[in-house]
Amino acid sequence: MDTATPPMNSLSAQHEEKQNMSLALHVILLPLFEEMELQGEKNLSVLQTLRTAFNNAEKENIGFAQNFIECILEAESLNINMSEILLKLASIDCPEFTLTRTETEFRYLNQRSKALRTTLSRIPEQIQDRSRFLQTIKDIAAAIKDVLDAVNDACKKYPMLTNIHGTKRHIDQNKKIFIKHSKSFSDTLKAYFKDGRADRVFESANRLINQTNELMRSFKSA
Amino acid sequence: MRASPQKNQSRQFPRSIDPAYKPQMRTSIILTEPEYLLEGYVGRDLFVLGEISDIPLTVDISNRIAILPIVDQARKNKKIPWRAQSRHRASMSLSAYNIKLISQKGAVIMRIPIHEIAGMSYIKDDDEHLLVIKRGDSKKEECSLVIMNCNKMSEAEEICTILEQIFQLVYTEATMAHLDDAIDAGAEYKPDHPALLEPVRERREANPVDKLYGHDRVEMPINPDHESAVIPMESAVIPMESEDKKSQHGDTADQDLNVVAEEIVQQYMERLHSLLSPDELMHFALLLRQYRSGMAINEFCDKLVTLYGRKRYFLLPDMRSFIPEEDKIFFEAFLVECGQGDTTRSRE
Repeated sequence: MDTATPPMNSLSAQHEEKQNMSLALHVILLPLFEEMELQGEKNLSVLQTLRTAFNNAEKENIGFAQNFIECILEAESLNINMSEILLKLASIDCPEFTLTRTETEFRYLNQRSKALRTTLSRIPEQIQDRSRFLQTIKDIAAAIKDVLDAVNDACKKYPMLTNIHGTKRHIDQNKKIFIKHSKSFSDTLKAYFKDGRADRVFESANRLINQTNELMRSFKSA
Repeated sequence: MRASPQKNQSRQFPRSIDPAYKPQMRTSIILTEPEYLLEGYVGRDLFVLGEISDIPLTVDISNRIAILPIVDQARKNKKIPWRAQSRHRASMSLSAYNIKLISQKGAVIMRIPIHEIAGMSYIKDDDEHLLVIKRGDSKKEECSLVIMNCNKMSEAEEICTILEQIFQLVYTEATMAHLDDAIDAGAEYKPDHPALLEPVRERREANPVDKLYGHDRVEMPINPDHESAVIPMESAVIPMESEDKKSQHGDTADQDLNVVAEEIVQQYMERLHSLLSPDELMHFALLLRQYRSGMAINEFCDKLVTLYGRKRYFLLPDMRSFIPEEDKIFFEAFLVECGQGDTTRSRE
């Protein structure tokens, strides 16, 4: 069982909000360590220590990685919108949220999850162009439905996934939260077309991405 | 550049003789809040010269070389006047639902639903500021051009900008409805395995038409305005296209197709039953029967959107199963104009 899986009875609103902040660890820091390793970093043990330390710190204090990065940016006087950056990096694959089972339904779920994250990651570059943005929204609509269809197909095809009471409740809860975040994203878009607040769209999209990852993790831990 | 003998031609027309010239639209000509166009309307005065029918659908209204000869020929054939006169004065009312052209006496000359408008262009021809609306026609490979004239370039450009905002507004509304519908569709979980928590829904084996009418035959009062006052249940369902392809030898693939088509219709009827009021359901059945009896596809689509209303446009794509082959092209174009066209995507 994946030790990073949050306890099922702690999916409160506060915990849910904090979970949104784990993106920075998975799309910025961990890929950075991996790249350093691929580029021949000699102190591999130091890299591994850092990796473990950040993972543990994030588990204990969700949002630690994002705060850490924001402090560095502030120290360097770099005024960067973290929500926008995290959204642009959303298409990066994270092993933590990738299913390793080879059956068609799980491969399909992986593909659909990635397709949704990739489509959402296009928002920052297209939000100013109404025509392109509306087309992207239509693509997001299709991608959300595809993810839900893939989840339902996997559950139907492999009832063993859901036979264990705790696992089933976990998947069901994450699916419901995914639907909730999808609807919230829709509401945020409607508000955006009235008030033009793009930052709220970025934040809402990041919450949806985070919940997509949680949904994948709940399957992985089943 | 050539000098004009008319006294009001002292200003320059630097590029009007250039056939490739397209006037640059100024942005933010008006500050109208787009949402205002959902609740209200914007009125502008102009001259309505007339409508030219039976134009090939492929005509490019942004190309003055293509449009002006059509206008000239229509003038020669006396379909529209050579010059706008006081009797052609009218007002144009623009809203998110339609463009309405109203005579000076208050009569509605023309009402053009937004979904019928393929485009609008402004063409300056000497001292004429022509507005051209390309709209759908009853014939599937043809369209109509509504020709109007404004007093000034700024007025014509302003109207074009307002319509652009309307298109954007309507397309945005349709896109958001599409998103909501996709989320709801994905959230609808129809489990058929006993291991799953959600209760198993009973398969509805009843005739889909029963779901529309209940279990009793519907008898409507005789109304001379309707083609048919009584709608027998057995004739309310349009024969599926697949039924026309059904093999006399009972080919398995065709039979499977029939089953799928019937299931699609059944599911759609069930959906309508949950979303439409009883009166609306009866209206839908009547409309369907009228279409089957020979109503033109554009009239059918027009009445369908009136029945459904904007908030239920998401029901339109699934009407494909009711549309025969010869009307499919028009219907697909109609769906695109309503913002309900297919998004190209692959599942692999």
